[in-house]
Amino acid sequence: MDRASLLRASAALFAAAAFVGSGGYVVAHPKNDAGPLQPPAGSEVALRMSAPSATPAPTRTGRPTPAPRITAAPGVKTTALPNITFTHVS
Amino acid sequence: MSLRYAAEAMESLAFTALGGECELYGIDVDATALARGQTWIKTMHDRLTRFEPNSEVSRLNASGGRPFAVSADLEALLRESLRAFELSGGLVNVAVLPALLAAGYTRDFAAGPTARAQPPRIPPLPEVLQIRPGEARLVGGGAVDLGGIAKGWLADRLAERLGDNVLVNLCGDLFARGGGETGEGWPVGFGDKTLLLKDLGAATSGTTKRAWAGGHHLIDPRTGLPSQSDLSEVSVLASTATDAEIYAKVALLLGSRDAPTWLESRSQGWSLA
Repeated sequence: MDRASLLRASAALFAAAAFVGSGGYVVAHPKNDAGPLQPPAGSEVALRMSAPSATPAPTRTGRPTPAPRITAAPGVKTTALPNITFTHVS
Repeated sequence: MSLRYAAEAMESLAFTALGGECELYGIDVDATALARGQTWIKTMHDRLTRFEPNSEVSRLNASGGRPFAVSADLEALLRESLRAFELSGGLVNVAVLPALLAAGYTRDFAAGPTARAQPPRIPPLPEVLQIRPGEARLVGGGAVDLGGIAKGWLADRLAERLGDNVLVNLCGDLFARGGGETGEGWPVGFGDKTLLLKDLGAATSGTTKRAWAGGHHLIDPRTGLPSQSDLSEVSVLASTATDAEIYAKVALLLGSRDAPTWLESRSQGWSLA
């Protein structure tokens, strides 16, 4: 076999090996929908890093707005029903 | 929970008046009755606004100390203003208009504030407002702004007109008459809760709206300046919307230390923030 034929045979053999090898790799590594994300975006660290930082609501005075303190007489009931309207600043 | 009323028996109507959103709800109330209520509110708005020079209130303010013939509605509201002054120990005083103007609130809020001026002394309301049947007189340069009391008063009056099971909400000041759809009360948002209100008024006073750089619309009659209270928003329940509005304003002006004690013997509930 001359030198040129040897080179062609080697190239064909290399291409065939790459084809068979990559096919084998794909068959051996099927897609797993339940597999972990890479990089681990769902990890605790990633979640902590991606959580929005608390931004205080803008207020005229710059004071933080505390949660309202509600006091109601015993005869006034609360309900889990959705309200149809509400009292508010006008 | 059993419903005493079919859902379709409830009529509602929403519209804009008095500088904000108004809502009317009624069980077994004709839709035309709600429409008539809307017309009445808009008529009263035109009569009571201080931003229209030809409104009844503007003409009263411009009457230069002379006796001024007032409509029955305005006379009733002015008498209610005197009651509010007494009830609040002077903290609810409709004669704050000169101080509001000095604070920069000289025109409709949407047009923005104007330059501030030295705050004037605010006289006790009975010193400047005299009322006789069919007639009112503002003396000593007094001028009134009824925006702080009119909405609650109008809500009470309209609820009486509309029927026995209605809810009238005028820009956040409301009266719930009757038990609503379930008979237990109308579900109304109050602070961060929903309460069932039956024959109760609710109102909110605050400094978070109608506020501008360096000021807001809630004048403290003791200083003539926008309130410096540590509270920014107070919601109150009372037996009428008018009283709720008065109580809410007093509580806000008193601040977080004194408001609960003042409200304790008067209000059916409150939310301070």
